[in-house]
Amino acid sequence: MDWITEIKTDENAALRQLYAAYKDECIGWLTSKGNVQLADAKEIFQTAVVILYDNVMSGKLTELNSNIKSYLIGICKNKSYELFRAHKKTSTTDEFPTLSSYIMEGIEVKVELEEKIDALTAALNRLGDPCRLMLQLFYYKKMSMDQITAHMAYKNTSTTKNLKYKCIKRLQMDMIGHKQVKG
Amino acid sequence: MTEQDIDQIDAHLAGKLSGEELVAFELRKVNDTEFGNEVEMMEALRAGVVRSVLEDKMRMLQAFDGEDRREGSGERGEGREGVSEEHAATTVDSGSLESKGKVRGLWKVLAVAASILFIGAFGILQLNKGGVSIEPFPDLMTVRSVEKDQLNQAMLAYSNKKYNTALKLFNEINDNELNQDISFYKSISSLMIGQLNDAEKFLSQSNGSKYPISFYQGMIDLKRGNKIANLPEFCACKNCPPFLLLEIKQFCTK
Repeated sequence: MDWITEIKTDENAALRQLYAAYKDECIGWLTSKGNVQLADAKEIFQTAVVILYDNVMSGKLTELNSNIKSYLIGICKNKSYELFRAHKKTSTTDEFPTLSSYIMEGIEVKVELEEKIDALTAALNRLGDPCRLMLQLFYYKKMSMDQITAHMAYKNTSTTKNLKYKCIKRLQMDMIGHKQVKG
Repeated sequence: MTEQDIDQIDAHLAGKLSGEELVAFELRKVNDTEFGNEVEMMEALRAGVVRSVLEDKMRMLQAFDGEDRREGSGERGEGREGVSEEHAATTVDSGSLESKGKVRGLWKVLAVAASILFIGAFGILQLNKGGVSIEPFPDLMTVRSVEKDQLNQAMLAYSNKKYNTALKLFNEINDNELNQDISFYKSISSLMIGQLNDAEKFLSQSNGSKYPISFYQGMIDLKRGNKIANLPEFCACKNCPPFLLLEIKQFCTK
């Protein structure tokens, strides 16, 4: 099965299939050979599937030299080694500590920026759709304005562009408002 | 921050600025503190968006894991912390398509066999293990103004997946002109929280020439554990936006 194409074609279905197919084996490996607690093993495996997805979507992974199981176990291994470091580095209230550590790896970590990213993620969630979805399509999926217009069934590109601008302004206002409330 | 500023910052962060443009950008960033802060905010936004996408995937896998375990062991209510009920309610699992309630042992084997026969006999697609997900229809309500603040509030609650709040707010709106639109969003809100009779009632009051009524009627059927009553219309997915069409196409052609 060509998992990379599957993920690109129908991402959620492919991820669920991958998850179901390799869950027992990977979690089994983590708990027996990696000496990781079951709850942590589960989070590591989930993170591994999400990292695989991210690598495919960002174009870092275009073909698999080994089979998908070895690839996933490879990520699980690395993540289990990093587990304690990740728990130390991220705040204890973090919902997904292993995933957070992966996300922060790619960024020049400045504490201030890290805090801003946390605040922006929260603001983005508060904002909800269609803004959240639109910004995900633009910044993560790298869709063009034309593609987003078609995907979200908007009238024309200028409507979409205008909405993107409004969404960013709303985010900015939300951040300022939140800062004032907190401060 | 103007629209032009945003475009320029996006271009910079995507590595698309060069030469004089790049120099001017860097100079402005240094000399204009406000602009510098905005660049930092946009940088954080990109990372925040990545995080939100990946966290969505984590939640989806956690919800799937919860469903998978319940299906396998017959246990209920064991979803991991942090997975909202609303999120879980948005997925129609294959179990609900094949049979209602818990299926165990011989019954499970019989149910699976029956579903295979059903699939063979009617040429219907085999759903993937996670089933087909119910996507709430995006907010395409175009009539917005300060006077319609109640509608804005309701649509905001809807977009934020606060369906109970959205329904309460929708119910307080008395606007004949928008009745059919509001009925549609009331229907989707009801569907998302599992109030299927209401969902069906509101759907019948919605504007059929504007919204994908047959798609959501099919979703109500599936959520009830029934087969889709009007499969051809469901698959035709009239008025569906492209993201739904894609999902339906995959569903109907598998």
